[in-house]
Amino acid sequence: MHGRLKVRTTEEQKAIKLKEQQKKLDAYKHAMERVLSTRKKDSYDPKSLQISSGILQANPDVYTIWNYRKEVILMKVKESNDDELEGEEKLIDFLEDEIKLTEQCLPSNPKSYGTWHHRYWVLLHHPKPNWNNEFSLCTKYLSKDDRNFHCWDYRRLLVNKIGITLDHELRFSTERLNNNFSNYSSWHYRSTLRKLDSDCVNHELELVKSAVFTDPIDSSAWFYLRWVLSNPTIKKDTKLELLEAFEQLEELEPDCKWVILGKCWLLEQGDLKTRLETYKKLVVLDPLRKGMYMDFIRQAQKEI
Amino acid sequence: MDYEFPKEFDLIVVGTGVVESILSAAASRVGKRVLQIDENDYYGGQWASFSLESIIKSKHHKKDYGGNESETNLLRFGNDLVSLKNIAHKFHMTSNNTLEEETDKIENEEQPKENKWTEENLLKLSRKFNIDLYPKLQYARGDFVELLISSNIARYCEYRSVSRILIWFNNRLESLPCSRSDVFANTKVSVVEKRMLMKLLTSLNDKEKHVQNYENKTFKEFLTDKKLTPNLIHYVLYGISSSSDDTSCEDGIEKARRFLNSLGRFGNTPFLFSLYGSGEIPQAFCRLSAVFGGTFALGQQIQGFSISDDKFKSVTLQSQTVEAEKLVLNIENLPARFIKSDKLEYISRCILITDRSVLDSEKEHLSLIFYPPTDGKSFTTVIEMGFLTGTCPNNLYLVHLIAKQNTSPQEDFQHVIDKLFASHVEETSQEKPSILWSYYFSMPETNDIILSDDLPNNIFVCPGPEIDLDYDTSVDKAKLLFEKMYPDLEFLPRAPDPEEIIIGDDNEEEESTDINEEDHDKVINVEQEDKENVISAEQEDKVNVISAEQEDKVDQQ
Repeated sequence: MHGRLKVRTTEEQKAIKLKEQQKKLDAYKHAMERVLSTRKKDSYDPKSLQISSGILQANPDVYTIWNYRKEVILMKVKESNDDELEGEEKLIDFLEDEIKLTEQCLPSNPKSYGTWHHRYWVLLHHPKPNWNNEFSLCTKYLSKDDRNFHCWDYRRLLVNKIGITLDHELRFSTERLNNNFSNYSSWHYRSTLRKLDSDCVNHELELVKSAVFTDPIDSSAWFYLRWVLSNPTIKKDTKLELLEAFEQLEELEPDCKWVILGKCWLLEQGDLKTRLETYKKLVVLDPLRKGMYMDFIRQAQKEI
Repeated sequence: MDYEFPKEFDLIVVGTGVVESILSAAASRVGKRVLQIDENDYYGGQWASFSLESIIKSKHHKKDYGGNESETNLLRFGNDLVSLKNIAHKFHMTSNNTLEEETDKIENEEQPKENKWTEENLLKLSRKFNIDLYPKLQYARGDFVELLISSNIARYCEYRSVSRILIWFNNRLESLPCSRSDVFANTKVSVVEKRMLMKLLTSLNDKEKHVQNYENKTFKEFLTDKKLTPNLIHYVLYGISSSSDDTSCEDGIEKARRFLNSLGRFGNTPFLFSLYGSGEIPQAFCRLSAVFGGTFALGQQIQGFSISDDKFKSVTLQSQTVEAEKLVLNIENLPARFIKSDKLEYISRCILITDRSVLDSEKEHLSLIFYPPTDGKSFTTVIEMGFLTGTCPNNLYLVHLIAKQNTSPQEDFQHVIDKLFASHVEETSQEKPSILWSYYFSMPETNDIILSDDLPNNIFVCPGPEIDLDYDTSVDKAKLLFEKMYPDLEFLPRAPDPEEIIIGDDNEEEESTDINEEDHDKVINVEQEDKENVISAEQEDKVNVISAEQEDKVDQQ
């Protein structure tokens, strides 16, 4: 037949894949054995160290191997302390390679606890850590996946190490929220940036209001709203205004429990009858948390 | 030409536009012997992309179609009806400027500063332009993208997503809130409006729900009844569903659904664009056709074709006659006697080169702009392409305008151009981009053309571009024609990846031994050729990408 290509069947492909997997597994097992058998308190085998980096690139979640490497680093630190002439330089070279290794491990699992921790730990032992470089790396990772909470954690650690302006970080967090506001991490990060005062609290309220109106079912914004509302500087009028807006929202979305719950937060010291009514609505809308709402009702009744 | 084609094919395709190229690929893919030829020395026909110089020089008229058919018994390809009309191009720079600049230019290869563009230095950059005769976008979840993926043709092209969508409203450009993030970030609408808009968008996107009691009403009435505020109606009617006031409710909802359904797959907007211009698309299909053994020849002198017993028989090239069971040709190449319609609808087109974006922004490189109908003028779609789309040089923008033709392209677009651009370099205002070059023409709308009943039933006619933003109508048309041509064969099944192809397998030769020797050789040859094709095609692709990237880098420096 003209123009027909001979193509592997899926069976053949499967067999090839299985063979490859088996090969990988054997190599992995062998490498692990080798590294662990040469692990000693006072010296290390350079070949094993090299093999261990291969293991980590394939699977960055083996804590044992990260710990093995930390032991080696501590030996190196000690060595460098003894060598006054070139010690520091040698150590820096060694640690830079270590940092590079974590960078190679992150693509295979950007959410590996071990890798992020190791990276920070190495930098803490680094005589001249480049925190600015870390910071831009962090920004890059967050633009790839802005829900990677490891990265947000790392960012908080870094911000404490270098002087970053509040404005910069506020802008950054707004940018991430504009990209996707269903993100507990970026809302949380925002809440750690500053103490809200009467000047900025309204701005935050508008921002989060925009989110809950755009998508009232998304819980992340409601969590932030609750935190903003807990701020003592919010004026009573502002709360009343928001309550009114929520009533409009309830008309549009009568079945959304978050809207009713939001009203509850605003009603805390309000009229008892309205509060009881709202709790009863919640019992119907959110039967999974019925017990909690019943408890609210009992407490409210006690207050009389 | 020195070479000869085989005397016989299963299918001859005349033209290299999108629909006929899809058919060529589909036929080659299922093992038909295909010859695809074009009189032009470039791919694409009315779907092609040109450099600045070549679009100016190109006549888009090939020859005189009249006369002497009877002498040779050959029907000549082509007609006068289906061709580009009203072509007019102009550089909008003053000439004294040109002279001063020229002396500098010889020494200094750097690009001129703002407002210093001249005809010469635009033409110098000619090859950095990929000017589409008819730019097309692709719905991220439309039939066309699904076809590219299911047939594995996607690998022959690269794509960029449209980076923003703007809409003309209240005498200025606004960004169109279409996705959830857009609605959240929008500062022009109140929070309650945000909720109303989101609610409408979710309900429109819900396929299960059917809208009742609006059978004979317009989409605008439907939106008004939803109690939406005027600006929300504007966004949804003219933006998201790109409808007009008289679009029926059913159509409006359907269009909005296509838009909404394609959100969130690639990038921030529902649309994709093929990097380096829409002219890449027909070539991608041609490449697949070639990989599966199709024979290609551009720049061919074709004398005509012959019909006997109401059947297409053969095509006569310069010195050779090639027979085939079937003929596929695009409407441009169809002899006038087979076209029943004597009047055609036209699409007004305008292409501009400008010196800045209509709405400056750091990261926007591909903008889709909806300009709603006003005062009897048609709905106008504007596509602005920046440097990163691979269709124009750094610091310049390529702007395409598309609308249904009312009177003439110039008149149809005058109001849009007045609003969006400064017309001459001298009167540059701070905000508006200046037009450096303009190109107007009318593109015939050939999808509804009526063909004569005399057309032999083994001739299949492919339409040119239609007014839609995307290729989905073309895909449907190609599928329909393919079903007619080969009712029992699969339409573009997935092509194997290079690693799935067995190269130089021993079993292959053993299996083939029962075929006689001559055939045997053929089998092997074809197999090898194909392999080479696959590999060289892949390599070429990479080279293209790399060289383009390098160019980019050089430019940026």
